[in-house]
Amino acid sequence: MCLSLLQQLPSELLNHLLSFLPLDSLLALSSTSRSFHELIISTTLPRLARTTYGYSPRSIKHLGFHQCASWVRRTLWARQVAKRWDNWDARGFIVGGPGREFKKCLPTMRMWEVERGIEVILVGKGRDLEMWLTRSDGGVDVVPVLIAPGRQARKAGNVGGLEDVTSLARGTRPGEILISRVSGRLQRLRVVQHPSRGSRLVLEETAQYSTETGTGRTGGGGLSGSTSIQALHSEGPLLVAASTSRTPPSSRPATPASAVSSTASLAHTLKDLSSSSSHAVSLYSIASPWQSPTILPFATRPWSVHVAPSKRWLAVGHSGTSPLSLIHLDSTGSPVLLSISLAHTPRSTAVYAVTTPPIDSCGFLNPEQTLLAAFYDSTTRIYDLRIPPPPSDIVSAWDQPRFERPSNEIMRLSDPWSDDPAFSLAVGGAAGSYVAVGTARNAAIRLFDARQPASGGITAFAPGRDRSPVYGLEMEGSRLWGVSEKRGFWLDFDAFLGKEDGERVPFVGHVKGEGGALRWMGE
Amino acid sequence: MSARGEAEQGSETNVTLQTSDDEQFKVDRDVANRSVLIRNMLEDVGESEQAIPLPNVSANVLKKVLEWCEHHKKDPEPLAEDLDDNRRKTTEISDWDAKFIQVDQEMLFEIILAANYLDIKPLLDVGCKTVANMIKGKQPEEIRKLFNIVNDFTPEEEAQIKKENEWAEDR
Repeated sequence: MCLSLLQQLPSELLNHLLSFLPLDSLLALSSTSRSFHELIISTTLPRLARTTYGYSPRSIKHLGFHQCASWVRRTLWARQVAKRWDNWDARGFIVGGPGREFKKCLPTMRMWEVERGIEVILVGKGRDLEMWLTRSDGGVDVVPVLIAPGRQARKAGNVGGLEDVTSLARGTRPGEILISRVSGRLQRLRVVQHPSRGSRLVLEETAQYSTETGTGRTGGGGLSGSTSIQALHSEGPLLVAASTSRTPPSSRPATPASAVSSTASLAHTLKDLSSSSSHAVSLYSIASPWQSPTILPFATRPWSVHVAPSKRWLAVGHSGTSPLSLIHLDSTGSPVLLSISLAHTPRSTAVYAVTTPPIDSCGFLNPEQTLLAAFYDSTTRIYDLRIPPPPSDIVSAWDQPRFERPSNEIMRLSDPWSDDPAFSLAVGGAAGSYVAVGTARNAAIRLFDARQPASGGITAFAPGRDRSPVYGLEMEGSRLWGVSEKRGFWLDFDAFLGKEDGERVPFVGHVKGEGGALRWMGE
Repeated sequence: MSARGEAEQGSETNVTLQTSDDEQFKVDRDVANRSVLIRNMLEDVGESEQAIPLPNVSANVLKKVLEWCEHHKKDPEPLAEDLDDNRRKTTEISDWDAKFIQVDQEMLFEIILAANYLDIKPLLDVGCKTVANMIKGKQPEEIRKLFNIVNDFTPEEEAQIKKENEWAEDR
């Protein structure tokens, strides 16, 4: 009998040959014989899915289906999802169904590994937490979260908005979460009871951190309300908090800045008001709550913080004319040298969100050294941290009509039809190369493909048609999650959603020739 | 050092290659240098009158391979990044290569094996792309016939694989 020459090729040669084949041909070849089937399933498809279709198991932990699915299914799924992102073909969903609305609040959200391998969205809305858990059929369950009383029972009585959650950060292991509240309370919680059919997720407090920043006092476990935390972010053992303390006039220390007197009484009052707040970014070790944090004072209010996946630097977005600061960290997580200003603007502005691309992103040449920042001036700017930032005097050139983009800014993403401030920011999607920017009005989300910024992105309007800002965004391989003041929603790019699933999503293309006409995704 | 000096001088000299069936080929060093295996050997051994033995390649295959090397002797070295990325994306073959590779299946696979052994990446890719193009767009049964592959699945297995591969369309 004459053996097949193709089958006789050594396996490394065969692998090389198969790398030239598209998915359909690989599937056809895998159905010819057992040996081809085994080789293609075990080696060729995983590689194809990862390299060509940007399949990243890390980015789809919310979808349980992938943990048991074959590589044929995963690869087909990845190809279809990549295509949907490419065509901006999503369907919209409201978490908990169209009728569900939050009591108006400033919600915050974080993608979180509740259990090893299972990622969920944890949402802080008002003083409560809830978890969005994806079922095996792709639907989403809203699971209420109960925090079991810690060592210190919560003070009874009217606490107003003081207990509202301001930010969330992942802990050092699955099931651990850090949470800050308006009162300045910063807690570490862990899961003590996973939800079974219709029940709640129960968390308990395992630590509290001091949020004193030197000038503001936070008595009694951070309940005095003089320090509030606007933003948290963590990476590995490192937790960073952006906070603002109100200093009572009597106890306010006489710093040179506040000692400057003004003759105009209104100006004096305003100055007094602003200088009665002090701002700081604090670095904590998550595992050692008893250690006092390293405190970095800031002159203006810090709105957003982000620690690099490498833990070698920390970015802070704040108000002012140099609203984006980079602080290098040493191997122990301590800040080194002075902070570096990455951007200078002619007018005072603010950076409301900062983030980095996923480490396996294909959309950026060097994801480890890339920083994205969402500006009040409506732009989203992307910085290459390997290029030194421009000196601060370059700002004068910015008022000129033909200013040049500073050399460290590799991309500037904007919507030609809207100058609404950018509020929130996420990077992900197929191949980790899509950028989503939540704006200040109409629940509008700007979407861009970082691989082809020149082709312009789109602005999509989230389900629910809220007039509110998009306060939070998180992006996974196939989903973009968001919160407005009234509801949670997601845009789903999953491979197998039909036209009848979810809501149609309206959007406006950014390309000038299209005149900013409203269109519908998938049509 | 000296090996490099010799390699430069040697570019005008001839190299003798000896096939598995004991045939000898005298070729320009430029031509032989297309093979990374031979180039490294020559650099290691230096100037030598002795024939280089190629025990994995027969005369009729080597003749064909040398024909390719002769035509491509002036090609620039491929860039490292091209080797990994661009190669995968396209299965286009230049006109001359397409004509060159119009051989029977046995010779085609012999060329692939020889190109792999002699470490001639561009020729290996021409061979692999040719096979890939033969597979593209065909049904499993056509592929079996073309490459003489024996179907060793049970009917149940075959049905299951068929179902799995069509999964995308079902949804």
